[in-house]
Amino acid sequence: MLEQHLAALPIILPLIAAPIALILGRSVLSWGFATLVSGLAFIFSWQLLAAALSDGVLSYAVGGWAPPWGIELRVDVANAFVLLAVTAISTLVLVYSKDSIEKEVKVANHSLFYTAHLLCLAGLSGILITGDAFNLFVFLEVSSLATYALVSLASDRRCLTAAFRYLVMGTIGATFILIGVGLLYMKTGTLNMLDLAVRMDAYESSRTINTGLAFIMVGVSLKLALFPLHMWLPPAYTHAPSAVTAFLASTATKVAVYVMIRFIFTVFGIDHVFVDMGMGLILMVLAVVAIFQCSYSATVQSNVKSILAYSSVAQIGYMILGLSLVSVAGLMAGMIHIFNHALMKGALFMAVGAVFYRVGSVDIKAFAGLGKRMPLTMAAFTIAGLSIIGVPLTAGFVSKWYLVTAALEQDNWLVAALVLLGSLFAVVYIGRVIEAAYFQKLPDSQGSKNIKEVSWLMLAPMWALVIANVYFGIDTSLTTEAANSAAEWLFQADAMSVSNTQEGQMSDVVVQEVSS
Amino acid sequence: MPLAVRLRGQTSSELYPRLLQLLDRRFSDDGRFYIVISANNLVKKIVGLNVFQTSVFMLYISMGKVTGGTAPIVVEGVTQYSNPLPHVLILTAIVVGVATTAVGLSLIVRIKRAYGTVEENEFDNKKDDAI
Repeated sequence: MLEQHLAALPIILPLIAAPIALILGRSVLSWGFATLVSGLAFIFSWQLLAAALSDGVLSYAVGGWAPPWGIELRVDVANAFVLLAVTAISTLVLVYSKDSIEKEVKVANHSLFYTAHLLCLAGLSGILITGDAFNLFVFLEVSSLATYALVSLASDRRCLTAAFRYLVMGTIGATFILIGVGLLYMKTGTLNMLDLAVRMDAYESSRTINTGLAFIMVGVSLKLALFPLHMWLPPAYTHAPSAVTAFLASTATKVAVYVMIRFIFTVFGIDHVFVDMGMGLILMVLAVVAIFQCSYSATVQSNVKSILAYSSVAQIGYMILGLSLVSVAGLMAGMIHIFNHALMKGALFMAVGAVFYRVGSVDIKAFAGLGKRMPLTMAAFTIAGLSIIGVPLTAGFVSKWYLVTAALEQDNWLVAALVLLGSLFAVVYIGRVIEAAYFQKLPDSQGSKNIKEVSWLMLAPMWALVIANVYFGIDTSLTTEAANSAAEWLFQADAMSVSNTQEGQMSDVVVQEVSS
Repeated sequence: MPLAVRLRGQTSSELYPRLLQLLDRRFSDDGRFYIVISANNLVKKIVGLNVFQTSVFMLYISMGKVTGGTAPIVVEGVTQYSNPLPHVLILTAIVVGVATTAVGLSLIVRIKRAYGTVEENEFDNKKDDAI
């Protein structure tokens, strides 16, 4: 019974649990409950990845309505891989958040925090698993609305304007996706992604479909904060509660990158997007500019959360760069970086949240001398920071290695050199924080003498991510195997959809039934 | 202006240029998208966002019309029905839009309490708001 509905569980479980977390009311109760639910979702997604690696694709018809009529949930290696990362980070962040939000969120809002977190998790899982273009929009908004509420929970009033800006930009992005999906539906009469891909082949140079592509690409780029549509991200990440930032930075934008991959590879097809429409060059240029412009911005910030937020935009550049190389190796590098960056940024934002918990500030001046006072937190920050830079034996090195290899495979020396040059900026912005923590003196005040290490409840998830960073830097078999089969599967699926006309005929019947 | 009325009696291939014109218009003269960007007042921004979304709903609803088709309820002797699916989709999208508006407006209430203003240029000038 459970086995049969496995694909739907990572969505349904947090969705049902969210109002229960609210009803529980007490902070500790909702915390325990939310963590348990998220942990279960992680176990289910682990089983889904195992099933996808052995059987290929799992298709689940919601409510028993067969696709393409009904909504289809479709689990393959690519989305099971991202889902595993999302549910893992969500569980760790929930463990971490108990102490962290006590400091940063009003007590009355604690159960609201867990409710919004679970809703956001349900939305993100939904985006990943669904095989229906319109359903994707709905889940996108479920997760985004929860995100706006989460950002606005901080006690600093600046979080309100940041959340509002995020809401306006996010809604514009989602509405653009809605317009795009509408245009595709207008031309093809279907919303199932695979069915869309099949039917679109009949209209090769249709302006409706090209307009749809443009709207969807701009909308998704807003959601994933691709340069120059990233302006909502730094204030939102800077002023949100630390636990929220750790969760969003390592999941929300990654899921949006996945949406872009899904639309390009499954729905529109590589040939159409990259050869006919020339999106490859556009994405590549924007990605490189993102890496340099935002890495530079990161080096001049004084708020450490801001530094990391700008760094996130730059890292998204690396993912898009991998995708824009249009090769199995490039896509694989992008997928690996989605996973690895979630590990690094999760650990970094958790470490910064721990500093805020003890010191009450995340300004770079507040980090002075913390290496002695909070040795474990700062060691975690340092190792995760080295991973962002891409030092060997860390996960960050693996992603950069595959990215550079993919670029060199096409003799694209310029891109390879730019990737390495971009890493130098990371040395500067991570180095500034480490320099403050280890080489500057602790200020001589009474308050700074009382600073001590945070509790194990905050350290354990932080170090779990740090250890994962090192583990996936040394033993790369899981990440590369999953990312490689995901990338190969996405390229094959594109070729496969052309020959798979049976489903296309199926939805012909629907249109006829409706119109006759 | 109700889009569905204007577009009645056109096949989908004729529909397309008209819709593109309308899309175009949404971004230019009577476009509400413009308000979202230009308005200084946060409430006006939300209203602009709302109208922007509503016009997308119109786009969907106009798609459902099948030439010569009636309402999609099975009646004897009728063979042509309009497509009900876009209407169903838009019901969902309306719910999403209402939720977004509600979240946006409640954020504005809290912004007004915290800053004492809902004019964007006024709180942008306050010093602690530099990022």
